[in-house]
Amino acid sequence: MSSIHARGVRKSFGDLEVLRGVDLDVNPGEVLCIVGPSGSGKSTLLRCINLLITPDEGEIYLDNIALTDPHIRPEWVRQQIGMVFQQFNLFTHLSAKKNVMLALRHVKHLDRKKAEATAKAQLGRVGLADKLNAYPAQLSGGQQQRVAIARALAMDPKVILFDEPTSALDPESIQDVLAVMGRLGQEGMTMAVVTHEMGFAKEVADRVIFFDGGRVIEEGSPDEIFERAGHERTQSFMKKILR
Amino acid sequence: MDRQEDGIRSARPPAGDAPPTRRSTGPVPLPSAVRSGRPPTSAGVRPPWWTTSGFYIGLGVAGALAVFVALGRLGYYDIWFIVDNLSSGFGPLILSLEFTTYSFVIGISFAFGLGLVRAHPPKVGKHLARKGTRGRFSFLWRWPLYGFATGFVATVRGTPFLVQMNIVAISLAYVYPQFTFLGWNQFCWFGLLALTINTTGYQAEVFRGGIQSVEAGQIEGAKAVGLTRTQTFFRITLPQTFRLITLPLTNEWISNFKTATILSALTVEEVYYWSKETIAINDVHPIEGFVMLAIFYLLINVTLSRVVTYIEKVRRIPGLGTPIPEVSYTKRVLRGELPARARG
Amino acid sequence: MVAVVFGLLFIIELGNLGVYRLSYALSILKPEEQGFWTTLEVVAVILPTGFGLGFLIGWARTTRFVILRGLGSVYVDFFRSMPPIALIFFFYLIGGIELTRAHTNPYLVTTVTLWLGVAALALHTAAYQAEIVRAGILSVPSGQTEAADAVGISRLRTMFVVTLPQAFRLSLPALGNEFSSSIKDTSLLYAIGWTELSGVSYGLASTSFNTGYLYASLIIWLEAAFFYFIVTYIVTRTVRAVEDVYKVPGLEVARQ
Repeated sequence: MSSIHARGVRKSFGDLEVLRGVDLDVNPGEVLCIVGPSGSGKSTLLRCINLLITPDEGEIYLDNIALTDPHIRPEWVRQQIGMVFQQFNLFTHLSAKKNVMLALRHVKHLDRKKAEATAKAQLGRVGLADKLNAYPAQLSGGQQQRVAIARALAMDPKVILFDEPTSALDPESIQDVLAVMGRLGQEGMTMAVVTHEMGFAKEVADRVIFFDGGRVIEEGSPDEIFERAGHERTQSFMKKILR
Repeated sequence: MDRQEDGIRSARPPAGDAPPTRRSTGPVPLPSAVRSGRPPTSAGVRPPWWTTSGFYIGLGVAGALAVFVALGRLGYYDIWFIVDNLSSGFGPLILSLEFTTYSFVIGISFAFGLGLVRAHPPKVGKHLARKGTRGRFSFLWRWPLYGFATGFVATVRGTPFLVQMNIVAISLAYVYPQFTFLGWNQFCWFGLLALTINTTGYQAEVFRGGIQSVEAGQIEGAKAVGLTRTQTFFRITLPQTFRLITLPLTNEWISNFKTATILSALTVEEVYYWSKETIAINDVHPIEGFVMLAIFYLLINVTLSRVVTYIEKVRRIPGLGTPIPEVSYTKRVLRGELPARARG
Repeated sequence: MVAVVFGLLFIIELGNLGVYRLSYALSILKPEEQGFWTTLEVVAVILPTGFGLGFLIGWARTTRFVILRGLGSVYVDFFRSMPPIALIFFFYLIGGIELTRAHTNPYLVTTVTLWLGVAALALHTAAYQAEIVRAGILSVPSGQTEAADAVGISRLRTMFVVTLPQAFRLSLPALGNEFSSSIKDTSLLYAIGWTELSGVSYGLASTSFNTGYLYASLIIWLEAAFFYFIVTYIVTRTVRAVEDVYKVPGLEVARQ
């Protein structure tokens, strides 16, 4: 069981201050949903946790290991923390199976047989056992996203970050992807999910964070955030969303 | 954290340090796509023969032959002269192809490096000043390298090959006025060098474009699964680049083949020199010379570009490379894919 | 721009230091400049004709008429496959022979044949520009024409008010490259006796031994390269400026 703790994370792009001192905890085995208006810095926060973006200030810990320590290889960090993107980012020149196998072979240095077995198992787990040899362009959006989840799972990460995984999908695919994610949460995976799917947040999340203007505005159980929000900004956002 | 040996996470009983707020939502059903099979495909109806590409190729070749013979019969040129003398052009043609291919192949290795440098312009920014950043001082070698590559490419692309060739040949002629090496005289070698420099500049831009058009998301995806920079480049960027540049690189070969004709100005006896000096001027058959040259060039260039377009279409990875032009409505109707009117 | 100015100053300083003979380099500036203007004159003929013709052919290749499309592709295949120097020389030679056979006024023959070489270049670049225009038209999404159809704009008008403006903007960078290639191709006109930049340079180089300066011919060609660079630089910059004028936010085209 792993957890993530961020303390005072700041990041700006040029003059634009995107994160203004974010404190965030993802407890072991918890599904944390991060909601908030677009442009509020949610995606940047996830990328900072994964070190895809280096934060300007602040610390991020994975089980007491400071990820922001310059002596830690970012590749190691990304191996521990899986990431699923809004635009899937599957390797277009590789089939679904090879997409999953690539990192197993070249990051984990598994032999071909083992990598292939893992890839097949993980793709089966997300319900794509019959699409092993399909290329990303031959798959629907939902299928691509599930391959991306399998790719992240195959690395056996301690935590998985989801960056608006369903925003680019059609309604039917959204349900497929959310089902996979919900099952993962039930199995005890530690997850941080940036999402606009309030239904999913209500159902699956253990805790919800409302994020705006580069800060955590409010946090609590889904009920608290959706029904009895304390902060004015949260209330107005929820009113618009849940109407 | 209990895991099975094959790396698949097993279901964990909700206990221990699991937050008490966890609600049980019951078993989550599998996504629907697992149950459904393949999407329904249209029945494999064979298109009528007059819409196949083989028919069009045949039509094109037959049409070209017909025009060729017809113009000859009308007295524009002497077909029999062409038939008799075409084989004398094979030697010069092969020399042309040698120049083209040698310079092209040598050029690729240099162009790859130049393209790589050009694809990653050195950054100007705050991160240079921040302590502890890896490669903080890389601008010390990156700027000169990038400047050199950019200057080289700009010069090569900004001036005509004729001028470049003359500069190379004249400056080398001061040092090596006359020599023969591997059966080629000094002019052949100067020409080959000039052609190599020229094609390197153009290929570098092809490589740069290819590398830069690999999407940022692909790099991000590779990073996110823990690949290092080097691995990302060799496993993700490079394979995708090669698929993107097949067509532009072939076009560059064709372009190089045409550029090689300018070597005739150095009295290199390649195929244009042959058609001009031997056929048009010596034998006094100018039109025949032109037609023979056209036969060689059309045959090689049109065939090559058609073959590469075909290969790119067939052996492409779905969604990569240049987009396939949309099949026209009329053609689809002709193929029987679209009903011209509603069936009862 | 700054780099170019500093490069120039550096080169002149090298001459002052005696690396090459600056006085000679300056003395050939005058004839080279003459050639430069001739080159510009030829370019001013080739680019508009090539563009006009290329536009028509490129358009023809996107229409529904099979015969137009077929003729267009035969034209493009032929003129793209032939090396420009061969087109220039054989147009000149064959045209000259035919005109002489027809007992035309010899002065007229000389002039016409010279311009036949230029016409060959215009036809050559037209083939390339046709492909660029065609690709531009095809890359405008079909939804755009559908939308125009839906509001009842006629087909021809749709072409001019919806498709072509977008196609033009999309194909500008490629057109800029093609213009620059076309300018460089004019250097081959020396082969039929034009006294443009390369023709002048060949003329100067052939008499350069009279000056008693060993490196004269190298200087001549370097200077020619410099002039060509200026022409292509100006034209590519102009095309970029036009690109910026027609830029639509969010729809920028990648530059070569």
